[in-house]
Amino acid sequence: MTTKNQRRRGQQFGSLKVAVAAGSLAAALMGTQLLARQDAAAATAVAQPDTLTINVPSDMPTTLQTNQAAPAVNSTTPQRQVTLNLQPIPQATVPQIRSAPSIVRMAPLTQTRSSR
Amino acid sequence: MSTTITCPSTTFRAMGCQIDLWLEADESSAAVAFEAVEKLFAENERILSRFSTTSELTQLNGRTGEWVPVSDLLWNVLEEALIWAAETNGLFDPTCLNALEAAGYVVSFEAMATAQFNGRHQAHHLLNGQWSSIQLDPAHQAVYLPYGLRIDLGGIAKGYTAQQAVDLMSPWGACLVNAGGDLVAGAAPSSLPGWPVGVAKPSEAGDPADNALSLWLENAALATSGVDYRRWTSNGRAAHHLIDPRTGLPAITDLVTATVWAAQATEAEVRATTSLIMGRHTSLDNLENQSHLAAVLFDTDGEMYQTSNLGNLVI
Repeated sequence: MTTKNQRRRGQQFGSLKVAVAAGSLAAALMGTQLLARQDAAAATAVAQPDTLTINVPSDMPTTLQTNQAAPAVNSTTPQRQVTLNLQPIPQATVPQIRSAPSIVRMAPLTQTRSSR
Repeated sequence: MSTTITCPSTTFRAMGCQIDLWLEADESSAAVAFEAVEKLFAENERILSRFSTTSELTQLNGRTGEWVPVSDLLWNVLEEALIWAAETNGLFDPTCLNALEAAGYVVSFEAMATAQFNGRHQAHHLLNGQWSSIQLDPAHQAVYLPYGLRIDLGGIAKGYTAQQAVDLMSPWGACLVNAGGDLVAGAAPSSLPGWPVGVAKPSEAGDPADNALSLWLENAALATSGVDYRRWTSNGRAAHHLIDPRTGLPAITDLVTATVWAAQATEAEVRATTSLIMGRHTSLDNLENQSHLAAVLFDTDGEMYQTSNLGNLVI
């Protein structure tokens, strides 16, 4: 025999199942749309950069040095690895339009041939 | 977009062929230049023609075995001919006149249609290949032809004169000369990389010749030698005007025409002639090894061959 409390818990559990199912469906739909947008972005991107890994010495200052002539970091310096997953930057493809040559056809003015 | 060149031009006959001139200048300047060039061709023909009994060359050919003082023009052209004879190991030979007449080329080609060859010139000793026995005395500008040796400066005289014509017209502007199928260009016309010219496919007498390809020509020459036009029958045998100095007979070759591009008209003329005599394989090898030359050859099967550097000139 079911008590009043047991019936109330059963109703609450049923509502939870409906909410979870609805949430899953919504998440699946949003995921599908997101994947479709990612595919579109990938198709228009000019280059797909690989994952960029930067090894940063632990004692390195926060300011980055871009000078290539800077002294190499001592390999014994303890390093920490920072992995940056950079998303490709969508770029519009620029059409390569060549200017038309100024002379497409030029009829010969005269011709070389055996003496006559 | 199609472009055409519009500039003053003129046409006249000299040295047994049609001469065409183009000059990028105003009409009055062009008229002055054209008149000067026409006089140049007439004067050079008067000195260098082997068909005129009064030409200086004919006089020289008639005085073999003695020293003969010659004009600046005859001296310069003969000297250049001998330089090219040495350069080509005698394959270009200005001493082939006896052999040429023995083959039946005794009058100008225009007159040959009515001339009857009777073989009287075969009595000459051929003496081709004797170019190195000609002596030049620079101090007295005099020439010594060994007894019986006679010279013909036909093709090289025409090329030399066409080059002189370009040098003469160039101070007025960009110019182009067509001397019987041999082209010599000065500077390029305005806003073009050169003068657009065609290389004709071989053709019989009287037939219009289609162009096999078109080239830009600027400060250079394009000469064609061929056996497709100046040919005849002599004593029942087919003959043409290109003598092989090694045999003294019309060259037996697998080429019908040879067109050579060079910086100077005389070299283009000489290389075209010698290429035809050498035949396809030898001449192509020879031309490929000389990067300052480019060429188009047609063989007897109608096939076209060209040197690898010709592409730089093609329109």
